[in-house]
Amino acid sequence: MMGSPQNIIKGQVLPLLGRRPRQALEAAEGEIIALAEEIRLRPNQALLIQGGGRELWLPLTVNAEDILETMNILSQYSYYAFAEQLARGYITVAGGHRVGVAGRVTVNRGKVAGLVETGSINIRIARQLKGVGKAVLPWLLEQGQLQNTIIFAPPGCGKTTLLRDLIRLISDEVGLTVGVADERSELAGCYRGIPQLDVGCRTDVIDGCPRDQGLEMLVRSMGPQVVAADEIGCRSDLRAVENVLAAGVVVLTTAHARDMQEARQRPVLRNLLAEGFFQRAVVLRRRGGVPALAEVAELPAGKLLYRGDRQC
Amino acid sequence: MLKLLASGLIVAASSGLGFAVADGYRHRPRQLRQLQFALTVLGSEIRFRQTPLPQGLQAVASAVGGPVGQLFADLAAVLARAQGRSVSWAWQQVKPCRGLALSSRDQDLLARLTQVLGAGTVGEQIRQLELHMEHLQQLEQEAERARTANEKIWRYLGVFSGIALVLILL
Repeated sequence: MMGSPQNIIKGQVLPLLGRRPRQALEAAEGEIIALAEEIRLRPNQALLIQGGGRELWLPLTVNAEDILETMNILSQYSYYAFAEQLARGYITVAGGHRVGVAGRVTVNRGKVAGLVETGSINIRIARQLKGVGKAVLPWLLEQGQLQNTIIFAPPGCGKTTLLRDLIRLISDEVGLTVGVADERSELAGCYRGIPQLDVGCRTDVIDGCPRDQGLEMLVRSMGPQVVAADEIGCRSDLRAVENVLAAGVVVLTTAHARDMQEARQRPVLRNLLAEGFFQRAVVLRRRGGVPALAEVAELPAGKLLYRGDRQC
Repeated sequence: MLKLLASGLIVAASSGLGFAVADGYRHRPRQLRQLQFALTVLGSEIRFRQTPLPQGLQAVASAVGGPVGQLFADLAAVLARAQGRSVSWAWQQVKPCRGLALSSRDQDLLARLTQVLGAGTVGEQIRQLELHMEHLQQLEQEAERARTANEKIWRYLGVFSGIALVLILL
């Protein structure tokens, strides 16, 4: 499904750009292209590539025309078909890449109704790192039973990447039916309802749906043994998780927090942890600039099963 | 014998010319009606299925067919390789094909439509299409009047001017 980084960029990302940014990227070096995680277009600023903790400003000042051309391609010349997605702030394109947009929006009855003029565009390139979950999965099983698990990490440490790979492994290798409530199209990268990233052969995805409703729909309609959702943290999630657990379904999820301690201080997370919903907590942290597994703890006690690279 | 052949040729040529002009008058109202149908099809694609424009244009092309349908098929083809350049730019690249009887005023109306096509919500797009349909109806009535006034005249004119020329030359 996914090729090498260069091929992904050449085949899926470059055709999304207007003529000048595309030429500028084609002329750029292969090395930075291979590292690229985000491509940013801002009017009157140079074209920016970010990736691997580095920045590269390309020698091209983006103008309004470039933004317009890129938007024409992204929306397939059809604002009407993408108005709803644009009001949410992003479009998911073939290949599972997410394109974030900012600019002038119109508001109707207190809700964003549409994006009328595009300011900046941020293309986030979907990269699937297969196998990152292999080292984690054994810690989440107890006597062959998958435990309710929450993954903690600061932004950019690979929460979503790890969750996606765990979903794939549980679906393909453990052989459980997995339901994914993918509110922001990040886990499965759905394009027209079809996952563009590999989330396994026993996986059903509800795309673009509010998490709590998505979870309930999955349990009601798809008969999952495991459900997964990214970045929980609001009050409605609490009830949704409760309902899912009441149905005897295992929950996998992630949350923003540097470590267990910080998680215990967050209003909603604190409640989630205190209720004893989860049996496992996984903490990720950057080590030498690379996201890595930091801790696995048994909940609710918080007894460490794994720390750094040694077993406890 | 040679004279007879030559005069035959002259009559044939001039009536051909007359018939061609008359054909233009005959086809224009029909093609304007097809154009209205085309916009109706595009409107329902946008309203009910929110089909992206390139696919919508293709749906129109296959529903309408003929030289008018070809316009939409060509526009869709240009858009596919436009690399983000605007719809009205793509329209400028479309060359009218043989058999298209639309006048330059009709084509100007289409050019104006391409400036707003795709840029707006479903409601706005439908309003724009309806507005252009009204214009097309007016143009169609006008074309129909021109047809009744001119179609037969040009046919007769072609034939008779040929005969007249032959008589003068003889």
